[in-house]
Amino acid sequence: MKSFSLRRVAQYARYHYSVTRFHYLSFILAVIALPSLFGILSHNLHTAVSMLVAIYVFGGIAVAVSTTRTMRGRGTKIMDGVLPVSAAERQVFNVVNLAVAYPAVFALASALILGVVAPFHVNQLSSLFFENLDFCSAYALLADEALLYWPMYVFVQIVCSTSLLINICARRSLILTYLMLFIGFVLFMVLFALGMDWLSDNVAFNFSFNPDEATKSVVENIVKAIYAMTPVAIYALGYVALRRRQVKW
Amino acid sequence: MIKTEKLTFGYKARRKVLDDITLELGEGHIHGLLGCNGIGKTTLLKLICGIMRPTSGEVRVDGVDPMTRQPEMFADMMIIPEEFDLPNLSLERYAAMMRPFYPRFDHGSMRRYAEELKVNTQDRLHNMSMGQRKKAYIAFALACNVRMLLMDEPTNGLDIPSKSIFRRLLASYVDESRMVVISTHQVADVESLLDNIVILDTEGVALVATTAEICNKLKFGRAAESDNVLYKEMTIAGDMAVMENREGEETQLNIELLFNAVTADRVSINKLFNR
Repeated sequence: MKSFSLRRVAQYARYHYSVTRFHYLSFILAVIALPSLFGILSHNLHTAVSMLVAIYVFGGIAVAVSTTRTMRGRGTKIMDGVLPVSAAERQVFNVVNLAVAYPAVFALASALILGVVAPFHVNQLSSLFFENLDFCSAYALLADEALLYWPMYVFVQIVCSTSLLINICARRSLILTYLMLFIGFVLFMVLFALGMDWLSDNVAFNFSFNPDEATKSVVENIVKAIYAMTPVAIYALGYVALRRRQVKW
Repeated sequence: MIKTEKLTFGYKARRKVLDDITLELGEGHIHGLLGCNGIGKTTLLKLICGIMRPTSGEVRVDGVDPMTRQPEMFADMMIIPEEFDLPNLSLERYAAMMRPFYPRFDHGSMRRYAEELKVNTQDRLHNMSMGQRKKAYIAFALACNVRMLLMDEPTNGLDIPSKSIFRRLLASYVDESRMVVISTHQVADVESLLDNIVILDTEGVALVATTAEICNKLKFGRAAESDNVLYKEMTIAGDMAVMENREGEETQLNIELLFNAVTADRVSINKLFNR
């Protein structure tokens, strides 16, 4: 038996979705219900679109939690730990679930939401043509803002991969781990801002950097490449953590 | 074959749960893992499964480190934990979902085991009582036909008729190529099944011996004046003792008494086995 097989990844996916289907269904229902409700109540498709974008970003955390649910559950972690699936196969499933399945399902759910909200938004007297136009423009806006705009996709993947890593590594309470990390992040940002403030007040910068257009473009491309590779690096870290993972808490 | 070599583990750095455990558990046996609460029986099972990493020493399952999580090794190993949560499916659907992971899974056997344990394979697992769910999982685990079956308190929650059916099923499950490791406090439930006893105490492995060896070296019952009594306790049936079996007398193995004897004085009992 090989230590990596796509067939086993598919088997693991089947097992995973069967065991956690209620969590995914609840999430999809929430994704559909909340923006629809707010969109209908506000009579504004843009409210629904803004809400969808926010859910798309933070929903990554919920999907990462569901992805690792059987690995953490009190009654499931031991049985999950002895499934004949290697760490590489698990991580491939995790990445596909977060990087492909999640955006795809989200795009479908968004189309459904906007289809539901659009008729409420459009004036009763407007023609079917305008209804369709309104729906299409709202979906185009959402696609442009969140689904097709690559920096947004990468940002969501950074959220997903970081959350996955936290779920793999967290030993005790997951909520407490998220809370501690959030506090740590806020503290870091405050200290960073204070530090920069102190530097600008006390250190005289006697050099200046005025790059030409060509250098600017190279630097920009390097920054873009680093940004795009960040989720890949975090997913790779997740794989290393998964290989060393113990059912300990 | 499961081998541990100087295995040490602690949940906290300074507090060891298992210390210097060297063991060999071979095929063809039902091994009983006995010990007081918190001594590390479940921890040892988890270490064997590779879901925890030893502090020092090593575990090898068929020569493979279980921490490497080789699918091939896990396709031949299954654990029935004391507490578990199954998805809200029928046993039939659960088995259909899990069978691709276990190449030797036999659906017909599962139905037969479930029928013997009086579990309806069409009922949803969440609608079953804890005992029913345990029986359902036992039926599934036995039908996977794995070579190494690890069980943590398997008789907890089973009713009296189910316990005897469980014993019968397990006795027929083990052959030369398979092994079962049972970690339990309920020794009376599995006493007649076990053919290798491992007793753990705070200092590590207090005793490892087959039931044949134990019965060869020790006898159990009421002590006569001439007997070399190693341990004695008051029971409802009168004084019961563990004695050295100098005459090769055949007595019924009393695991509970043996456990108490080893816990009270492991040195004298070990002396007999190391001779």
